[in-house]
Amino acid sequence: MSRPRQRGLLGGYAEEVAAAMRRRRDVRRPRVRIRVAHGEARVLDEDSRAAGRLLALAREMLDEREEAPRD
Amino acid sequence: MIAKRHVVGVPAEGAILRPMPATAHDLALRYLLELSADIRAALLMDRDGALLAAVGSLPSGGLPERVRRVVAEVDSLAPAGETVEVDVFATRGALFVLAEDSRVMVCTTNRTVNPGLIFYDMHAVLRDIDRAAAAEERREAAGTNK
Repeated sequence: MSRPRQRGLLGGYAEEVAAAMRRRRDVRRPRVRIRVAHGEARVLDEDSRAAGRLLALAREMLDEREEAPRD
Repeated sequence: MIAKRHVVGVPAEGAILRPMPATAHDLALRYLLELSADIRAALLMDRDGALLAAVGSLPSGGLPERVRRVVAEVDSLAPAGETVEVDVFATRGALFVLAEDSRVMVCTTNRTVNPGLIFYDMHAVLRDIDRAAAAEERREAAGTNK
């Protein structure tokens, strides 16, 4: 009787851990944000050329080496 | 391998003399570094891409070229003369760019900073530079009137 409930509990924990990992990954994802003339800030599309150029420039200024993707 | 870094505006190890005295821009950027321990380096340039001052930990080599690229990117994002704030969060740090009137200020920081606070400090330092320039103009005007 207790087995399905245990599995449910463990599943809940696993989901929470997965969600926490996802949030952590999202927070650490590189991003470029711009605000013109004190207006609303907007995040540039990751795939846009401007975002790519600014990110590359930031990595050069921060002296970051290009890292190979982990997965 | 640890990247070789050099600190602009601070004499290199073993140097006996400074190459030149600190300017008001240098002092303002040093004050910015004191305002926040998270700021690693700061640069100030004009809208033409000429480097006015730089302090802190920056990668050695190619700085003038990078500075010109930053200014070109900012100019491509907004109409000329418009105030632009850009923050770029990379893997292990962040780059902040503030373009206002005729100047562009750049900061590199840790990744855990609050962007609003960094821009607040950058705006404050630009205000201080403007105030210092205005005071200098007044002093010069008073000197010529005597």
